[in-house]
Amino acid sequence: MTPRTPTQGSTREEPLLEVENLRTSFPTDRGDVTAVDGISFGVDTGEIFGIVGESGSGKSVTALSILGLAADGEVEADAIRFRGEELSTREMSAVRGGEISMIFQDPMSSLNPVMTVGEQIAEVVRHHGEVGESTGILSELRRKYVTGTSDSSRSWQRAVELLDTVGIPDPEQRANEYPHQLSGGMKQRVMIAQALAGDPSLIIADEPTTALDVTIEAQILNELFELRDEFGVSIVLITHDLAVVRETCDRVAVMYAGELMETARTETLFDEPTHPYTKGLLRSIPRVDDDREWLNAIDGTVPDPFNRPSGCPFRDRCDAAFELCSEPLDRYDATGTDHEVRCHLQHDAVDIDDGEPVVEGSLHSRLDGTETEPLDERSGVVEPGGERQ
Amino acid sequence: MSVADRVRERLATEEGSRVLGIRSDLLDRLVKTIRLDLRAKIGFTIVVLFGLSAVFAPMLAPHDPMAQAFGMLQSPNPSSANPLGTDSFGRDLLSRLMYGARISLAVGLGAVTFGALVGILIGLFAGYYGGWLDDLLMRAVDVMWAFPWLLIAIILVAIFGQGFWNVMFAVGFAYIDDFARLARGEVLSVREEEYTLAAESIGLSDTEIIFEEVFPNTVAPLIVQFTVFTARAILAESTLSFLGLGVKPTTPTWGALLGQGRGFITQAWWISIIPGIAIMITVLGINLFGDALRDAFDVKETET
Amino acid sequence: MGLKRYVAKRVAHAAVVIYIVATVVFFAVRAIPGDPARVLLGGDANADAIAALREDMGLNQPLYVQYLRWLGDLVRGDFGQSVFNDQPVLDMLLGVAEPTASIAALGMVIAILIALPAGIVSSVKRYQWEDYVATAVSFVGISMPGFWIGIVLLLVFSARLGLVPAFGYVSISEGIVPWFKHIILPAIAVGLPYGGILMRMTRSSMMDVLNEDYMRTARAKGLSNRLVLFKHGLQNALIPIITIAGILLGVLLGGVVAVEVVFGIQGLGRLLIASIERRDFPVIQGAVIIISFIFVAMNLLVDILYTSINPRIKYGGGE
Repeated sequence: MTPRTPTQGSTREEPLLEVENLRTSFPTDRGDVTAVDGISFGVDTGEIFGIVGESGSGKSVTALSILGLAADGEVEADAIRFRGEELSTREMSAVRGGEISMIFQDPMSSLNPVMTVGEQIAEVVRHHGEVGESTGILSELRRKYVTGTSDSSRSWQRAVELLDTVGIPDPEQRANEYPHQLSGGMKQRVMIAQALAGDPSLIIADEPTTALDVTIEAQILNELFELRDEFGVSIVLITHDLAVVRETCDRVAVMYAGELMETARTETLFDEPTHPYTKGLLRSIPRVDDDREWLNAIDGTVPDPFNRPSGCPFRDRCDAAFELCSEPLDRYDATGTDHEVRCHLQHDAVDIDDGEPVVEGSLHSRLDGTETEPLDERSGVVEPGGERQ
Repeated sequence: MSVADRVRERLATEEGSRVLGIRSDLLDRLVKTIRLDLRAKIGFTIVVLFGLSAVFAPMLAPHDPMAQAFGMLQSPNPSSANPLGTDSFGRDLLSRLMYGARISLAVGLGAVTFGALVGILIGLFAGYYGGWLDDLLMRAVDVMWAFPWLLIAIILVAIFGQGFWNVMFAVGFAYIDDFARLARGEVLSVREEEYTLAAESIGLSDTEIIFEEVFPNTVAPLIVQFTVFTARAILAESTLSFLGLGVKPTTPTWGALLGQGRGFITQAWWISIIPGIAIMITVLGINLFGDALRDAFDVKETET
Repeated sequence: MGLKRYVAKRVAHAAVVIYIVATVVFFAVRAIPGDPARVLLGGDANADAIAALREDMGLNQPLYVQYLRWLGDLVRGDFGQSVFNDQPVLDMLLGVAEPTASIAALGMVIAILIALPAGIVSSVKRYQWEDYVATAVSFVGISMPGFWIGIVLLLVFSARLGLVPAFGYVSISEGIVPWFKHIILPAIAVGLPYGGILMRMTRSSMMDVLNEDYMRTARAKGLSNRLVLFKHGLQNALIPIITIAGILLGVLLGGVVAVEVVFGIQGLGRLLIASIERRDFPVIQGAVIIISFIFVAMNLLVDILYTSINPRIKYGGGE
């Protein structure tokens, strides 16, 4: 097994976060469900990286797996590197909330209803910042149940400052309020303040605007933008909304059934979508200048997690499916820089003839990789077709 | 799922898939739980065993539970003739226990059935109609709730006298408020469901909606509550009997046996201890069964 | 709604409930068959004496007059006189309240001391041996009648081991140690079944909380597991537990009555049962009202405690 070399033709420096061959499965009564199936990607410093996909495609599980928060999941990865260094589970839990923080989907349920928002932010400051306040369990419990957090403590003052930073009016007063006293948009701002409290270099935002209405959504996205511009924070933005991706992300990965189908710069993805799934997704977006009577939904449904097809998980719904599609997927370069696609149509040995894919020469010798060089030589390891039945 | 689909689905389940007004998928789960869940199996076995020995006590009991044998007074210890020994009047303890099971189980079940019927009716109507009816019924329930159950039972028995039916109602009376609250809460949550709105929109009458749409969907937590309360009712009956306020002082009931044995605790401990063990095993069985049902029906502990 | 208004509303509600309870009790007690005058004078008393006594006790007046007079007295704190021994009812009740309150309070403490830690461990170590042991113990606890637990304890710790006295009660004013020795067994007997239920509730409530999104947020902040559990989880888990603990106080109080009989302790329960036997209406009324009052008052306390740990009520507003 050779270590992954940076994508051919890439001019990028070493990524801030690098995920290699991440797999997460959940044991259930009916057998294991694979939620994330061998995905790899990197996030650069100061970049907003989008992961887009339908619900259930494994986006959120990816985020939770990276942070070691996938509760009952079994997470495996060849490597999860942060600043070029591989993190053990223990190291990850130390980084969590500080260097790498997370914003969750539903601010209503993700804030603790019995703690003031100020304290929820201040405790992150205490744990990850240098304010010299004890974070031992006894002092924390005393703060929670007996004394409360002192308004003059540095952690509290920093919390108030952060509330101000994320645009909450009257931060001194708001800090003393409970989540139920704030509006949905304000709660999400509190979540952002909380994510900022540990001075992160990477924020993973899991559908941060899904629970909010459209006007608030724009404000929150703007907030994220500014964070990047002001503090140089990298952001992984998980969303199902292609419009959000187009507006915010530098690069984007399209996720389907636990796999990354296409990764590209955002303009490239929208201008030259290569994977049939990506094309289908883009066709299904309604546009203002549309004169179509029907939106083009993709026919069919996501594969049954207990009975996934071999090879490409999308092949049953794909118009362009052909004989190679049941073979394990590889990564291929596509047009433009940093553009990777997992689709056999991109195989060098496949020609499109009259709209129909034609495989040149002997199928099996091609797939052995002896004549052409797929990007990812570990394809057989990544997706052992036999296990997928 | 659209409203139309829901209505269609509901109508589909309507046809031939209800047994006694209970959705058949609930019954399926019940059967599956009894077959597969260890707690349910143990609990069910205990309940069936005690139930059978109660029903067939006249045939199974080795002695007449009332027959006094003064010879035994000298040797109340367990022997081959009296496997569990005798009480202070030389009456066979095993036989009395088996007859006692009849009272305990019957009063327990009867009391909860009574409490459930009245309570569920109150809760259904209060929850469905809301407004002043809800206020009135729930205030009444509040007052009932302010009496600890034992006080209600003691006073009712004092007023109406001892006896099987009176004790049953006295114990059951205390459960009306609990069932009313639970049923009302369930109705309030089901009320807003789409299929209830759909049923209203196609012009079903209120009673039809309550009994055909709302009630069947509140059944699972009520079944769990019924089981839990049967266990409590058996404990309650034994407490009343123990205090001498039970069925009749002369009738062998578990609580009464226990109470009578108390005076001889240092000489013949088993007279008090064994009926207690019988109570414990029965109640434990019902509780285990109820707990398995709770998991099967996905009902939260804090709901009942 | 502010906290003060909320509490005021609950107090008013409790007062109305107590009033209705008192009224219901008055009429219910009048429905108990048996003429107190006859009971008092014995079976072979002559009719004139009974009639005279009835007149004397006010039993010949219309029921509503009796009710109004009784209610007027009650408001002034006069619970009437026992027909059995002529003592003021209130004095009799206060005289026996201490043992009952002691047993109930200690029983409650024992229940909480068992239930909270066991429930939390059980939920955290779900489906591991700790959970199975705690669950088994709690199931046995809720399946035993309290008075029977009392009998078993009595047999083992008093009769066999002689560690504590078997009968009676010693006031706390005569020393904590003898007081404690007399009520520890009764308190365990009432506390175990109550603690068993409470433990199941704690486990269930804590398991719900463990699945909440805000617990995941807390872990995502890099807090230690214990801190996540006790700082972020515990208070949320306690909110439903406290409500149920209040509702189940009836189970506890019911247990105390029977346990008093087992341990021969002169408490409210035994007084009540004795008074029913001798048709001592004023005492029955008084005892029932006092017990209901304690029950309602404790629930009021629980309610206020509930609001103080639940900011959604304390600071109203929001959604």
